[in-house]
Amino acid sequence: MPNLIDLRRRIRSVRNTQQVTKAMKTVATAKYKKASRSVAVGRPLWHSAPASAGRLAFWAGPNAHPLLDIREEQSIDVLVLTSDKGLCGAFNANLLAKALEFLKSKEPAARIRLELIGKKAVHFFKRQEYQIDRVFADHTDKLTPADLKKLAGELMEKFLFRETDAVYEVYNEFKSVLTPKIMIVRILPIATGTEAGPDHGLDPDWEPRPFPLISALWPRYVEAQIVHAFAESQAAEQAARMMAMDSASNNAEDLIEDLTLNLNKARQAGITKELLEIMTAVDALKS
Amino acid sequence: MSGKAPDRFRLRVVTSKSLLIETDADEAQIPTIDGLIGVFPNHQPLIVALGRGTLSYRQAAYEERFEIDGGYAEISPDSVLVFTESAATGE
Repeated sequence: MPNLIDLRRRIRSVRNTQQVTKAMKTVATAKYKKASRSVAVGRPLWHSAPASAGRLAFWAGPNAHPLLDIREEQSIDVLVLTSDKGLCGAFNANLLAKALEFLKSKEPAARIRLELIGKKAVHFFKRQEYQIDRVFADHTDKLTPADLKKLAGELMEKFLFRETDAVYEVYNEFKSVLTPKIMIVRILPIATGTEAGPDHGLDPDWEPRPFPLISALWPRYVEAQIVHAFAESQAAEQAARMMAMDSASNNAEDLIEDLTLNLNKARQAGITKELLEIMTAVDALKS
Repeated sequence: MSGKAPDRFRLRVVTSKSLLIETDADEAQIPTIDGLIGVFPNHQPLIVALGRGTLSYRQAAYEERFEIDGGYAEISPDSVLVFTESAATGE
């Protein structure tokens, strides 16, 4: 028969854990609301900007700007965005598995350099034999758009000086609360649309000429892509943590129920046993 | 107005914070870096950098204006797509 004291102790410890997971869920929910708001305001822009940039690239022509320059991928930079902390389900594990798969597919042809955001990515890739160029691993959630723009600037510089032939980013997009969507996006060279779209019969005029216009616009676009990926990743992380902590709290509840049932059974069994002993003793006295 | 030409165009103004307008319009005034241009349906396709100024559009008798700052516009015969920096509704 399980010991009553042991059972009580276990229930108490599970309840404590549950309190922690509940608190973490509350925190994640608050952070998620904040993060998802910043994603939501950017939605209309990201709904139409990539297509527009593609059309501009198409009209400008393949050699209009160095940022469009498609070269053989001999050396590539990959930006991987994860979280700093765990306790968010398979959020990081799924992403890192996908990222690794992607790197393996590129590996035969290209020299790979990594830019890592998030402690989880750093720990993971330390064990792999890829060259790690830059790391943001402390207080990733405090990264400002300015930091990310600086990173984007460095990546663009490397691309323009032909140190790298393509830049990819791998991140979790906040698709819904239940499932983040893993995105692998080539940010450089900028993807060219394959067609101008049905409503554009003619080549457009440019005002000013394509080169100065594009030179002003596209660096901003590349920066915005990285900032956007970061915001998405943050929102997805908090959503994943919220879900993970919610199911942890539920599991704890189930466990407490089971243990309480066992405890009651054991207590009842003890009482029955004692009664039986008393009755036996009374019987013995009577006879 | 000829039968085939669109008599209105679709105007969309997108900022980094919101979709400011999505509407059909008869006419729009767009502040480019070289000055204000008027856009009517069936405009020649044009990609143009924008400056700071007031963007206004008219739909029948209804008119609305917005302050915008920078970005670019993609103009085609039946649509105008504006990406801009910061924009606020005019009083």
